[in-house]
Amino acid sequence: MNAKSISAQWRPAAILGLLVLLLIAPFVLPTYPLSVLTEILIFTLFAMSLNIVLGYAGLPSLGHSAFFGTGGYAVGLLAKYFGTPAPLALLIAVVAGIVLALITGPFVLRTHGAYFLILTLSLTQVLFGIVWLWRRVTGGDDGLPGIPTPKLPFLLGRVSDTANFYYLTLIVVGIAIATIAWVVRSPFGLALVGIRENERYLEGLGYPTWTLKYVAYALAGGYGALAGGLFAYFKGFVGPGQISWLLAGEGMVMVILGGAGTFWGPAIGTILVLLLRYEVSAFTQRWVMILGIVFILTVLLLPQGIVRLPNRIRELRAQLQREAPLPRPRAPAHQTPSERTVEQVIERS
Amino acid sequence: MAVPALQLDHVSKIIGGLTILEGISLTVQPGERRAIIGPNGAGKTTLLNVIAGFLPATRGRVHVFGRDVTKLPAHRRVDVGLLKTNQQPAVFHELTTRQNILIALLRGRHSPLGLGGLVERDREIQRRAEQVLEEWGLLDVSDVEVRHLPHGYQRRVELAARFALRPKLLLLDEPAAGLAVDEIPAFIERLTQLPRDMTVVLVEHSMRVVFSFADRITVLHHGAVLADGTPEEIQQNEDVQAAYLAGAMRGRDAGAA
Repeated sequence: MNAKSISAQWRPAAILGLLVLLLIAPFVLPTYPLSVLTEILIFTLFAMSLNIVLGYAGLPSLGHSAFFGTGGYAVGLLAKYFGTPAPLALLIAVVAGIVLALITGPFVLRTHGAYFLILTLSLTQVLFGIVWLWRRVTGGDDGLPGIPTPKLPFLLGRVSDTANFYYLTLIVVGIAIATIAWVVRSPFGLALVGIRENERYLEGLGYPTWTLKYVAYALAGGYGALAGGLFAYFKGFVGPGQISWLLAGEGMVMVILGGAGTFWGPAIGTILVLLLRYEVSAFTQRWVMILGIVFILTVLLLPQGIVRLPNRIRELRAQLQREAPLPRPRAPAHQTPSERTVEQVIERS
Repeated sequence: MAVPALQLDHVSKIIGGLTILEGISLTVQPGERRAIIGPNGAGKTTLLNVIAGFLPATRGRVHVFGRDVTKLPAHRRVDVGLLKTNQQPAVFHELTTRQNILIALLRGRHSPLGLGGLVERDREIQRRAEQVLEEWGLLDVSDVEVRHLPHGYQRRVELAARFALRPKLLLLDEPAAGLAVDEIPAFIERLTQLPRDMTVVLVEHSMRVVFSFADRITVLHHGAVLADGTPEEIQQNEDVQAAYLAGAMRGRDAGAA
């Protein structure tokens, strides 16, 4: 409780510090790390958008790449065939993601758990199939190359192109993340956690749970598509790989690794996965194996994600301090939970 | 006569070819305390779920305060003032006590989607949550995750959350189950102090609770109404004696006391 309020007190300062670091990064970092950082920002948005459904509402989507890809292709097609300016193209990408979610929601949201996972996965594969086969429009497996990178006009000539796009990404992702923060801390966000915990109980309190899930799914779709659109600009290319379920699976790993249902968890997961991919792959081709080991260890030791590491350390330390000198008397085994006093319970939690 | 708080007309529930409830008709007047008793498998919990809308009735109609709610989903029935508690307290385990209360209080505020405003900045809601916590003696545990609380406290959180929504018709499904023996008198006390304008339908195995609380008792047996009357009438009813009550009175209360 105490530790929590202290961290809440420092939160604004920490966020400000992070923002300053991100703003000066282009002056410190060479081109390559800066482009990795750009990618981290984009995938943080992707993971955070998935976290709305997977983490907060407890809906295990293995098809979130459908929205990422939709955003990517929207941007790709608009840029290539219509020369649409980036702000408009990104906006249309978001709308496309929301529309896709609104169309597919009624089908996938009839199910829960593993069935939801399989349905979202299948849906993504259907989209993948369409993109792959509709060569005339999507370029099939060649994708759509040559998407021009948008630039912030007021920075033209002052910073490198890489830095320019980095700032553009930072602005878009920053605004998106701020709105996600607002969503998950609103009554709607609390209701989503209620759905994850027990949908029926929430319904019994008078919440239209299906509608809430539908809205959450649509929001996640919109944010996911925004990330996909940015990524298409970043790569200058959009292809079927950006819609593949492998990407959805990677998003899931990012969210769970960092901490599903926590705000910053997905960001931490994203950083870890991408750093492993780009840094460790310089030494060994088997970075995925290392990622797998990290993932297994996290799930075993920190089931709530890496973001909980400080809490976990504090807990373990408190436990050690309590137990080492004098083992405290525990509630006798025959006592039922209701016979324990509240003091005992508070102490244990 | 006033519009009944709850009226069931020949309600049946068939699940997978199995008749759980058959032609249940009953009327509960506003402000009445009605207990529904019956042996295990009599269909008591199913009946409450049909009334609350968690299970659709196969046949028959359900009226709450004169409104036909038969086709309404559970969350819409809350709008007419109907709330239900669960055998296992219907609380959100990973949330704190305070969040459990907030989630109930915020229910009226999610129009159209409940976006808008941060929960922690909403002074009015926070103040009301504080009030509810104090009223129910939950301030000490307000920031404890509910899964850490003993059963009796979880029950209290459940009831506090429901009362925060000011129910007009409250369905209680075995609220005394799982309470420690010494918690029961205080619990009966709490039940009898419920506001008189609230209608309460209680499913309960503890005869101590039923007979000290109910105005009228309905006895279910094999999914049908076996008897309906005041506690005295039920106690003297021979069918009831034969089917259930004698055994229950002897077995349960002796065991509990």
